[in-house]
Amino acid sequence: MSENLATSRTASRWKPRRKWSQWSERLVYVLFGAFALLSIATTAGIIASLVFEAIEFFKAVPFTHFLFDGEWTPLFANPQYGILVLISATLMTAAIALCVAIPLGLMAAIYLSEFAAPKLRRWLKPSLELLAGIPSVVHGYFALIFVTPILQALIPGVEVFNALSAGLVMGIAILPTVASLSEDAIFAVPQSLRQGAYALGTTRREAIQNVVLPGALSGIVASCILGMARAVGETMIVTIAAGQNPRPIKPDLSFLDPRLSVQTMTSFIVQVSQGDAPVNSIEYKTIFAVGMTLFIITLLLNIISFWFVNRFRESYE
Amino acid sequence: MALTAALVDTDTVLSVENLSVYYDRFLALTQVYLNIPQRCVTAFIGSSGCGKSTLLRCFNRMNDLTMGCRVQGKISYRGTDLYAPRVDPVELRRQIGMVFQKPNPFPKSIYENIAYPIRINGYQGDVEELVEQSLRDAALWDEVKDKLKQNALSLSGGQQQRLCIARALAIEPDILLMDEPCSALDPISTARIEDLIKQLRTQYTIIIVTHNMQQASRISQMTAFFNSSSGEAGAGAGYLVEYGTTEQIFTDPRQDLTRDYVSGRFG
Ligand SMILES: Nc1ncnc2c1ncn2[C@@H]1O[C@H](COP(=O)(O)OP(=O)(O)O)[C@@H](O)[C@H]1O
Ligand SMILES: [Mg+2]
Repeated sequence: MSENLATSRTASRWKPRRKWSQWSERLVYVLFGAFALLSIATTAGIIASLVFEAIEFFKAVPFTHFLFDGEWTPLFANPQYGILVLISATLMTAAIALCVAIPLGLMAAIYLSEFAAPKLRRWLKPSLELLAGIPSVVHGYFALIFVTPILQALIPGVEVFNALSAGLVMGIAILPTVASLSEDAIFAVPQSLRQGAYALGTTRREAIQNVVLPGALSGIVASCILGMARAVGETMIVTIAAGQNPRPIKPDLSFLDPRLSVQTMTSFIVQVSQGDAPVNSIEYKTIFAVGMTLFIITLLLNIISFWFVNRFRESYE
Repeated sequence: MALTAALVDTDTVLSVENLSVYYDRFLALTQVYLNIPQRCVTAFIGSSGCGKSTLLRCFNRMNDLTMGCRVQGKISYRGTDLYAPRVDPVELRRQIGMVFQKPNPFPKSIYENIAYPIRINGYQGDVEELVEQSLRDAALWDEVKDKLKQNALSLSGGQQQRLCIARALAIEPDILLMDEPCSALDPISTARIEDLIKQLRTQYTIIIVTHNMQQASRISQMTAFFNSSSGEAGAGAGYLVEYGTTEQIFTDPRQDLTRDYVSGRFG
């Protein structure tokens, strides 16, 4: 201990409160550790309950039926549990959303980082991010009340509840995420690379297309995948605007007709949760099986995006 | 200027008349007159912040890209006013290449780093051949010929800088601007690049900014010494103190300021 150490001449003047600080160090360590542990434990608990109830579900419904059945009729007298019905609807609405969000988001990102004056950028970027804060219930009713009638006027055969309207508006909903994250990636491309390109006699378009965008590619792709993960998990818009109509998987591909009402994984969960499915009934357990599937899909998307960023990130050094 | 005539080809490629440069309201460089002769190395020396890079960036109009940068006065490039409205800066930069202080290869393969500017400028001949030639010109070929597909960022700093020189040479510019190309490099890499510059100066007009006075005296035929009015970096307007052959500037400076600087008494 300190008594054994050689002390300076003025040692008597220095009396650090080592005891107290050692104690407080330990307290801080324990306290913060506990909170960190708490958040991990909560996550683990959620996953555990998902897995537990999902296992219960698969005791009643064979796994192969879940994966390969062509119909989703869990509330019928003779129920069928073909999850592909819900997955296909989820992926279809998400794909429509990405068709809106990727081109618009990328254009917005390129404009913001390459063309907008710094002053304008300082205003526009936060405003864009503010858009992400619009409650999705607002988006949902916007789709139902505003977009759907327009689609019905333009395209024959569009139902009141339909995948197209929900998907388009969902695209607008995830647009700020895609644009903002892509913009971060594009803005992070060092200025020296742009200068290097210009100094070689490239035009602005050439520099953006051949140097800036490839340099930001990993971040752009990651932003699109995260946008997709959000679209897959999005609940309110599809529940309100896409309806609750699980379409059987048929060779005529009618289940992929975006004009029709569909049921996504999330809107199914809402539907059952709204009803009075008794705890431990098979309907109740279905929620967890679907929730588990949803969780795996979004987890996979996040892992892919994470992997992509790490695999393809340019270090520029 | 009998000395100059004896040493260098006096055909002027760049002629600077009463040039002043502002960043917004800040006067960075004031009233510069300067004639850059063809096919030799001109060094810009002077302490930090006296506008050497600013002047260099006027020559290929890189400062067009800097928000708030304004240029007054005239620069003629082989008789053409550089800042005339009909001059296309993209076309100009193809003629007047630039190498930067920090190596900035593109995050692409070594080959692509050189093939890209060749292709983008519409080269009609054999791209592969020109890539090899450029790498040879930049004294890098032997080191990279077996790994052309490798990412350029995997090269060492000195190799990256020579790659950037190769990239600039690939499009066969008329003038090569170099802004402290060795300042981020170790002494061995620096020596290699100096050798390279000595070889290139028979074919190209080179303007090099350097902090290193030995370097200026080793590689340049002409030297321009800059200072800033307050003497303090970044505070005042930069101006040209003295311009002459390197020999004259280093052995027989006309200005006391130059004498102090080249003898290492300040800066
Ligand atoms: N983009 C810019 N915006 C504002 N001021 C600048 C900019 N670039 C350079 N300056 C200022 O102009 C002066 C000259 O800079 P510079 O040409 O880089 O000097 P040097 O290359 O001789 O060190 C400095 O005072 C610097 O702060
Ligand atoms: Mg400089």
